[in-house]
Amino acid sequence: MSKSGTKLVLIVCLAFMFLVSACSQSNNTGSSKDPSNVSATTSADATASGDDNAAPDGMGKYDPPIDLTTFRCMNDAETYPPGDSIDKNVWYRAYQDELGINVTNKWTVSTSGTQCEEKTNLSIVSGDLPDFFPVDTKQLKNLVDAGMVQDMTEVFDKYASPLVKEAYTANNGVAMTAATFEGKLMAIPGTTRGLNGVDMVWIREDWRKKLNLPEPKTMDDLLNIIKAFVSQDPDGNGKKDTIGLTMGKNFYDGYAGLAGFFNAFHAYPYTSASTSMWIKDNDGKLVYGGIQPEMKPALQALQNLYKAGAIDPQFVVYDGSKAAEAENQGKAGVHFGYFWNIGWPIDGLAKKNDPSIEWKPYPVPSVDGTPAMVQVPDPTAYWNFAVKKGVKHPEAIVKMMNLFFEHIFSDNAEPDKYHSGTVDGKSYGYFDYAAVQGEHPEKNQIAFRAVNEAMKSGDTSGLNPEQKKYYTALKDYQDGDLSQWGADRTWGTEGSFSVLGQYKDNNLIKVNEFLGAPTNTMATKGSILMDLEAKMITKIILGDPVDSFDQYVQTWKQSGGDQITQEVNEWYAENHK
Amino acid sequence: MVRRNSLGRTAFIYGNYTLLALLSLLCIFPLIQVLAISFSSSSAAASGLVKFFPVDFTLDAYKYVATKPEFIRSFGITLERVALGVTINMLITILVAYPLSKDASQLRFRTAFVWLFVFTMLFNGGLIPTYVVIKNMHMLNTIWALVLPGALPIFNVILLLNFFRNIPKELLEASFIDGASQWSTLWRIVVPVSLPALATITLFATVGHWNAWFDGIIYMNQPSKYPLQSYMQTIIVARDMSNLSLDDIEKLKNVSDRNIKAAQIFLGSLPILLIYPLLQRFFMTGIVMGSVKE
Amino acid sequence: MNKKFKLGDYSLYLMLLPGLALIVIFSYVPMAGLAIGFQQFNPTKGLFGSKYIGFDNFKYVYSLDDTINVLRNTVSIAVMKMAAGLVVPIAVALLLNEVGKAFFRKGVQTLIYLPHFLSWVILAGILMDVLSPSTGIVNQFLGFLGFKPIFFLGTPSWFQPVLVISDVWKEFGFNTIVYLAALTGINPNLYEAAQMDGAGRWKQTWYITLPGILPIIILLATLSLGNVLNAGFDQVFNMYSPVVYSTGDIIDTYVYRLGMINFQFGVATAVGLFKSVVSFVLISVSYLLAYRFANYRIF
Repeated sequence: MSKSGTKLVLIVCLAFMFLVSACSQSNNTGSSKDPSNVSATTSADATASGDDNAAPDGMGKYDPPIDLTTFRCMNDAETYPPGDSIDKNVWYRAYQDELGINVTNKWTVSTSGTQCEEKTNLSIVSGDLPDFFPVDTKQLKNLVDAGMVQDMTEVFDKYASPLVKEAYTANNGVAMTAATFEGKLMAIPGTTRGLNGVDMVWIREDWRKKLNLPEPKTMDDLLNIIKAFVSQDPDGNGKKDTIGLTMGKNFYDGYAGLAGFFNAFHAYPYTSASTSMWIKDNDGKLVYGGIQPEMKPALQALQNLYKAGAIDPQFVVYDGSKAAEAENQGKAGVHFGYFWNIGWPIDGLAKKNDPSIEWKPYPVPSVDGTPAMVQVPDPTAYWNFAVKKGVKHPEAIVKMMNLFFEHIFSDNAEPDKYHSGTVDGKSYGYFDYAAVQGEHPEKNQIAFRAVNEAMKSGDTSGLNPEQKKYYTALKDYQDGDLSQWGADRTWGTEGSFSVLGQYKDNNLIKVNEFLGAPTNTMATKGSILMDLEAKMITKIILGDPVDSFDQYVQTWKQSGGDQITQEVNEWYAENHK
Repeated sequence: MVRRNSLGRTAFIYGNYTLLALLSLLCIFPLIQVLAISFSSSSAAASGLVKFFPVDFTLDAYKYVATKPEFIRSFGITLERVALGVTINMLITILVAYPLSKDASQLRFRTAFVWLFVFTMLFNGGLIPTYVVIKNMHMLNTIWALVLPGALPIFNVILLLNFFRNIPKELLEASFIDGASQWSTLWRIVVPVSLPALATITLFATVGHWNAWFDGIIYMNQPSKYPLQSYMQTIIVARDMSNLSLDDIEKLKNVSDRNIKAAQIFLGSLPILLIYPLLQRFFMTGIVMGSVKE
Repeated sequence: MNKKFKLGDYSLYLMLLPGLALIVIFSYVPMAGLAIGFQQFNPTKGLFGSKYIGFDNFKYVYSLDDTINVLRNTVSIAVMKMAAGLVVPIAVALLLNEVGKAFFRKGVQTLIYLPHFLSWVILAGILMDVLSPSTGIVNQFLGFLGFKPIFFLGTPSWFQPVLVISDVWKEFGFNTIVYLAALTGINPNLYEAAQMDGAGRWKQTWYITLPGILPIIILLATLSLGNVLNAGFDQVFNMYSPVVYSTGDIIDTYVYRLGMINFQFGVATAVGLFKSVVSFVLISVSYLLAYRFANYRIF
């Protein structure tokens, strides 16, 4: 019997080996074709650019037209005017008519969850790349390491329009840094996060006033508000059923996170698998914010809040939308979050349904006399448009970016046609159809200032159509239309952009000192360190001694942290000579 | 036959009924909640107020879904996939299970063949190599990419071959004596006699195809070609809340309505909930099968 | 057995052909990709150009501090699920078999398989509500009985039981159907004969019903052995959090955080291969045991 068993294994093995070798042969021929392909196109590219003696024209039309392929990650709620689609729309027609570029989408997938990331990775790993495509910095690093993408330095320099260059050099050119590898621009940065991704404190203003609490000028004020919202029955139903501080399990989310809380204590933690928040110590060396001693008082304060019953223990399992339920039921009134928290999870129509409700964003207060600075761990682009190595016309992607800025942000812009508009009573966001998109990182701040200027003077002539829209909404709210409350809380003088403006005017924004692509050790150990930190913070809030933070720091250093610190400092030395 | 029940037996019967009834309630609770949410107003649903009964009863969610071309289109694709996929699944499963139910005397290398199949249940090359194969077969973006790679669920083969093995030898021998070939014996004798097992496996195959979502996202190039569950996955999963722009917020509001999601979840599971009771009828014929055994 | 090489009826081989073709194309050819587990995989160089690094990917995973803990969690969760997933459906199937009223039996059958159709994404959300220490119905019930509320999803000692119970709750209905299908295959004459001999219900169950479905029990138990390292990614991923990593983190979630987020396909493939080999060994062993001791061939 055992003999037959061995025989069986042997047969399976033989069959298996045969099949594997058979397929390896067939695949071999496939992959050996590839390099020759690339070299053929590269040489063609060389001749093409050699012919190009005329001054580069950033908007020049290709004749005969060229074909380019890409793939798209789209929001599921995207809608298109009748007859249009992501494959056929105002932007794709503009590429054709104005630039002589026929853009085809190889595939389209939703941005929700990890679908886009998975499908993109699959294309990268299986070598099935289109001519140009959107990637995040992590994917870009892998593409660069694998030598799969085109160096765009020269092309960008030569072809980018002044408008595009201006946008990308704003904020010290942070948009470009993450796409720059050893001094070379390896992708065209897309829309940047800029400095908008910072926390503010959102407070149920009606509750605060009802309980006669002072505005949160200091962290003590804020902690008192949080505790009072639990103990003093702010909703007035006679039951102790409210939560103080709304929190979720993702500590650095744009809603119900903790970044702002830590910032109030001058602590700057932020980990992700591929980067972290790096600050300068007294010697000018870069150090990781999350292991500095400033963390301890902040953790202590969180633990105290938890002990006082001001934090729902279920934060450890709640994501943003789950955490938001308490607020939507009127059971919670303080959270840290970004400017867009009005809109989601706070419903812009909430006040219309119940005029007594009021939310107000405040700047993060400080625990001492030094104003708190809010952290921006990642001011780089959401997307970078990578170009496949060997593509004949890499400059075409720059031209498409030029066209985007021309039609949306320039003096000749036609935002009604290219940004957003209404057809048959339905509104569409055309800008999102564009295969290459960018934005001035300060766009919203500029709009906020222009709109409020106009509100004061009543002169709307200086407003572009987008800004005009905000202006009208604000006016409507002033005239008593409560459905425009959301606009007031965003663009109004008490709105979230006014808070962002205060940060900016007072230089209270602390930008990550490390803006490079993920280092090697980040790539391998990043997620382990992320886990370590999340565990430490959660456990201390739930009651572990605050001194266990010291133990965490040791473990962090030994588990790759020291290595990463070294790599980050090497990067810094190289890029700040 | 009239049988008198002892006291213990009576107690057991009542206890049994109660227990099973409770168990059933426990199992349908989530679906009842989904149903209740789908009939509630969006604000009540969003605030998590809905437990067992709709709050602010409304048909809004269903009206909205009815106007959503994506939902209806993906529903159609799933129907197509199930029809094609289950047919192919069953056909190949039967064709593989029958020879493998024979002894090594009739099918040489039987054990080797069986292991060749079982091996694939445990080892796979992973996502990327499979994707490359499907791409090279030019099946990307076609229904075949959803139907063929999983067309032979080995688990079902094993179930069926065991069932085939238990078919009385006499039945088959009678057929061979009449001069029937293996082929006609399979279709004329074996398959009709195995209806209960086939019904069970059909159900498995249907459920498998109905609930598969990952392959749709990976192998289809446009959301317009997604089967229902791939589309549902798109609208249900949580979003990354750190990277939202002002424009994203506008769109987020349109898809985050819990009652609309609930309505789609319910409608998406409805067909499969309806199919099962129909197949249940076939399970009863298993009793007939038992008597054939004599 | 035959001296002459005889294939038997060739039509039997023809029948196997479509199935063989399918698994060759969609299973065996892609298995060449397992080589990635031994490579420092580089997409440009592909499967045949990437550098071979031997067992370095395996060593890397083994070198990580949490690996042993994660392995222990995986096995403990999976084994508990397997045991409960075997016992509960058999028990329910036997109980259902005792039900005389056909409509009731059918009704229960129809209802208990419902959770099977809901994804873990949805169920995790529902479970969070149901198990909530403040508003959850389970804790309200416990409070009614005088117990303090339990934070099931945030307490390491509770997390594994919650995983097992919720998994059984989701899947038992489906396996019950399989056993019921097997039960209907038992010859009713056997029961009549047993009654003639004066055997009671318990004895009938013990001597006729259980042996009648024993083959399918062995079959399902053996096949489930292949899942010893499969603790259920979808479920854990949607329900766990850093507080319960100590008991809830499993191989799949760990590798997801390590490999998928960070592009380490080599590591991910290596772990997948490790899982496959372990499952293969276990299934082979159980196959041989069943054959040798029960003289029962599973496949």
